[in-house]
Amino acid sequence: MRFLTGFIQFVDAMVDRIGKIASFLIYPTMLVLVYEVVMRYYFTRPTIWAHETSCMLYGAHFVIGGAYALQKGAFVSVEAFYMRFSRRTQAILDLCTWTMFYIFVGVLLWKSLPWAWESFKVSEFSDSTWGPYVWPVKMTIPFASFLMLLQGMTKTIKDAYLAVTGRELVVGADAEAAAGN
Amino acid sequence: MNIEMISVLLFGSMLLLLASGLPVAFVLGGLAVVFTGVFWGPESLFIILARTFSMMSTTTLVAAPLFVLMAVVLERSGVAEDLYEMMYRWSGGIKGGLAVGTVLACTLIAAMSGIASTGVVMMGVMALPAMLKRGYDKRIATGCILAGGVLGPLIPPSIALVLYGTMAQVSIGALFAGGMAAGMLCSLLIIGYILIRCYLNPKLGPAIPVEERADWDAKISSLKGVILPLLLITAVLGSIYSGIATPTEAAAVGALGAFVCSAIHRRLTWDLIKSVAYTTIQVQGFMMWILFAAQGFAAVYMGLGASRMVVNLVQTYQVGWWTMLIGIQVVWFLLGCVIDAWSILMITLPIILPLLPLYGFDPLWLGVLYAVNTQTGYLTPPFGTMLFMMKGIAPKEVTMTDIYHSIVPFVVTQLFCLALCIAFPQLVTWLPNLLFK
Amino acid sequence: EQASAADVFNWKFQSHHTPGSLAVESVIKPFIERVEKMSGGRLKISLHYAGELVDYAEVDKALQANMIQISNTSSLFFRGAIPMGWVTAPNMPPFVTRSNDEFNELFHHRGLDDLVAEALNERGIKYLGCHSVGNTYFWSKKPIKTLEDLKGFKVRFFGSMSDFVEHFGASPVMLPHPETYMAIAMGTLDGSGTAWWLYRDLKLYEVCKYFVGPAFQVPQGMELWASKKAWDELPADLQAIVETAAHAFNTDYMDAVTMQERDMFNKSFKEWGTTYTEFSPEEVARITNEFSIPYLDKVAEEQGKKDPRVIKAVEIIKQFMKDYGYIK
Ligand code: NA
Ligand code: NA
Repeated sequence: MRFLTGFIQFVDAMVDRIGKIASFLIYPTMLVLVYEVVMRYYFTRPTIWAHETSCMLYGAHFVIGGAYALQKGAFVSVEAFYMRFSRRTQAILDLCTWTMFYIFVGVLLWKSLPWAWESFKVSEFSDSTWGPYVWPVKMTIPFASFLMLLQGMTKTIKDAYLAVTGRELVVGADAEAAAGN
Repeated sequence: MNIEMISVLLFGSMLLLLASGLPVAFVLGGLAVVFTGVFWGPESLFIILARTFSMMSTTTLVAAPLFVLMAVVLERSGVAEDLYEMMYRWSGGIKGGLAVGTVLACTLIAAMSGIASTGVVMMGVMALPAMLKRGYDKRIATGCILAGGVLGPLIPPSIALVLYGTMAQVSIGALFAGGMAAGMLCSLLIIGYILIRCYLNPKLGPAIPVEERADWDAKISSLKGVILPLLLITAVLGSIYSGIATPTEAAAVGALGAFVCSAIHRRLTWDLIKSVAYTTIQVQGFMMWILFAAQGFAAVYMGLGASRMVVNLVQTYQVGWWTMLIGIQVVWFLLGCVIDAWSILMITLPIILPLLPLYGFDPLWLGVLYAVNTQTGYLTPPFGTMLFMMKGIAPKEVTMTDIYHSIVPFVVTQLFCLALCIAFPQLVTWLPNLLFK
Repeated sequence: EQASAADVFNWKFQSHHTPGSLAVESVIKPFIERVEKMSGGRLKISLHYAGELVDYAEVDKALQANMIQISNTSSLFFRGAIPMGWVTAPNMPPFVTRSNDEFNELFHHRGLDDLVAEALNERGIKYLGCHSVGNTYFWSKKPIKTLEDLKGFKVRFFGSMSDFVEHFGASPVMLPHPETYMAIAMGTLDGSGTAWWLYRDLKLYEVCKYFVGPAFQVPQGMELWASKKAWDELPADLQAIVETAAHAFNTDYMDAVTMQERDMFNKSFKEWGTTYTEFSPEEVARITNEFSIPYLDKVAEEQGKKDPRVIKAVEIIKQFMKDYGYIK
C-alpha cells in the first residue's frame, strides 16, 4: 500500500510541476505573434518564423496540458446517471469503462514513440521556408501520452482500492480532492 | 459489415459510454481506436496520431488559448466584473438585461474570432459568474452564452465559411457578408427570445429592485469600468479590419492588451501571471484533447464509408426542390448532432455540389444556411463540443443536465432563424448584393 | 500467396483537394473511374477529400502504414525528411522548364522520375510520376511591372517561390491558409501566388487586380504516390492498369489546366478587370542566373550530403537548361 500511495503522490507532484511549467508556453506564443504584427505592419519586415513558432509552442502547450487537466478533474463527462450510483459502484464502473482511456492513450503512445524517434533520427525539419526541426514538437506527443497514462493509473489504483476494500484510498488531502473526476 | 450497421454500432456504443460517466474525450478516442482496429485494420491506428498531430499543426487554432488567456486575465483582474456592474446598472428595469448584454458581447467576440469556442469560453469565464451572482437562472445564463458563442463560425471572420467558399467556389467576401447578415438576425432573435422569456418569468433574469436602481451619477460613474474593455475591443476589432493583424494575431494582441488593462488597474501581479497561465492550460488541455479525440472519431467514421452512406441515401430518392432543400437541412442538422462542422462539409458537399445547378440553389445562400444550420451542431446532444466546453468552465453547481436543458429553447430559436433564412433568402443576400454587385 | 483473378481490392485515395475543385472533377474522378472500368471492378477506389482521413503532411506515413493506398501529393511537403523533395517538380525554382513539353521531357524522359522513384521506394512508397497542376503566377493589389517593384511586397508563397521573391526584396509572409483571403482584402498582405487557378477559384480577383507573369514554374508539379505494400499485393495486370491510368492522370491534369488557363487570360480577365503584367526577358534571365542556378547549386551542396541522388538530379536539370539555351 505504501508503494501505491507513494506512486500516486509522485505522479501527482510530477504532473503538477510539468503542467505548470508548460503553462508558461502561452506567454511566448502570445509575444511571438505580437512581435510579428509589429515587424510586419510598422517595419514591413515580417518574419518567416513567427507563425510556425507560435504553432509549435501552442501544440506542446495543450498536449502536455492534458495530463494536468486530468489531474485537476477538468475532463468533462455526462454525470446524469453516474451520480446516482454509490462511490463503490462508480469505482467498479470506472474500472471497466476506463479501459477505453487506456486503449486510446496507449495507442497514441505506441504509435507516436517510433514516429517521433524516426523524426529525431533523420533530424527531420519542416517543409516551410524557415524549416525548423520538427522532432522536438513530435516528441511532446509520446511524452504527453506517457504523463496522461501515469495520471490515469493513479485514478485506476484508487478505484481498484475502493472497489476491493469499500474504503477510499487517502493519499493526501489536495490530491484526493482534485483527482475525484 | 456495412456502414449502416457500423453507424448504429458506433453511435450506440457512444451513447452508452457517455451515459456511463466516462469523460467525453476518452469515449470518442477509445471508440475511434476500437473501430479502426476492428473494421479498418490495426495498421490504420496511425490515424489517431495523425489527427492529434494535425490539430497541433493547425495554425488558426492558436487563437483559442490566447482568447482564453485574455478572458481569464480580464476576469481575474476585475475588469469583467466592472463591465457587468456597468451593464447591470444601465439595464436597470429591463428583465434579462444582463443576458442581452452577454449576447451582444458574444456577437462582438464572434466578429473577432473564427472559431466557436472563443465566445463560449470567454463569456463562460467572464459573464457566467457575473450573471449567477445577480440571481440569474443558471439555465438562461448558460444557454445565452452557448447560443451567442456559436455565432463565432457564422459571423465573419469564419473558418467554416472560408472552407465552404473554397469548395463551392463562392466569393469568400460575399459569404462573409451573408454570414454577417444571418449572424445579426440570429443574434436579434436570441435577444428577442430572452426578453420575452424574462418578461413572462422575471425570476429567470431579475431586474434590479426599484429601490436599488442606480441614479444617473452611479450610472455615469460605472462607465469608468468600461473604458478599458471598450478600448481593448476596439483595438482587437480595429487591428483586424484595418489590416494590421489577422484574426489569429489579433488574439495575441488582445491577450497582451488584457495584461495592459490589468496593469492600469494596478492588479498585475506575479500571482496573476501564474494563476491565469495555470487556468489557461487546464481549460486548453481538456478542450483540445476532446477536439482531437473527436477529429479521430470523425476521420474513422469517414474512413469506414460515411459519405457512401449519404450518397446511397440521396440516390435512392428522386425529389423535388423543397424536399431536397429541407432534406439537406435535416441531414446537416442530424450529422451536427454527432460530428463536427468540417466533417459534415466533407461528407455532404461532394453530393450537394452537383445538385446546385440541377436544382438552381444559390451556392452563396446555401453556404450561409450551412453556417446557420451547423452552429446548432455545436449545441446538440449527444455530441455538442460546446456543451462540454461550458461544463468544463462553469461553476460546479451547473450540471451537465442543466446544460442540456439550457440549450433547448436556443436551438429552437436558431432553427427558427434557419427557417426565416430559407423562407426569405433576401435576409441573407441583401448585404452581399449591396457590397458585391 | 498468389492473388486470384477474382479478388477485389479496395483502395482509399486521400487527396489534398476539396470537393468540386478542378483536380477532383477533371482528373481524380476520371482516374478512379478509369481504374475501376479497366479492372472490371476488381480495383475499387474511394475518394477522400482534403484532411478527411489524414492531413497532407501525414500522407507519407499513412501510405507507409497502408492506411490509405494512394494520394496525390508533393515531395515538397516532405523535403524536411526526404532530400530528393528539394529537386522534384513541386520545388523547381523559376524558369527551369518553360513549356509543358519541356516539363515532360525533363521529368519523364531524362531520368528525374527514376531518381525520385528510387528514393521513395526506399521509404515504402510507390512513385507513380509527377504531373502539372498548372502554371505558377502571383497576384497583387498594387501594380508590379519590374523586379524593383517587389521591394517590400508582402506576399504569401511557399517552397522555392518564396525564396525567389525574398531574393529580390519581397517579404514572404507565412499566414495560415484560411486567413489569406481576408488578409489580402484587408491589406495585411499585398498578394499571394501559386498555381493560377487558385486566383480564379478563391475569387482572389475581387481583391487583387494585378496578375504577374510570365509563368514562373511552367508548370508547377505535384506527384502521385501509392503505398508500396498495397502495390505489391496487386497482381501484375492490375499494376499495369494503375500505371496506365496514372499516365492518363498526368496528361488529363496538364490538358485541363492548360485549356482553362487560356480561357482565363482570354475571357475572364476582361470580366474581372484584371491587369496582366510581365517581367521582361532580361529580368527573366536575371532571375534564372541570379536566383535559380545558385538555388539549385545550394540544394545540391546541402542535400547532396544526405542523398547523392540530389547531386545527380541537379546535374540533369542544369544540362537540360543548357541544351535549351537558358544558361551557358
Ligand atoms: Na467569427
Ligand atoms: Na452536436
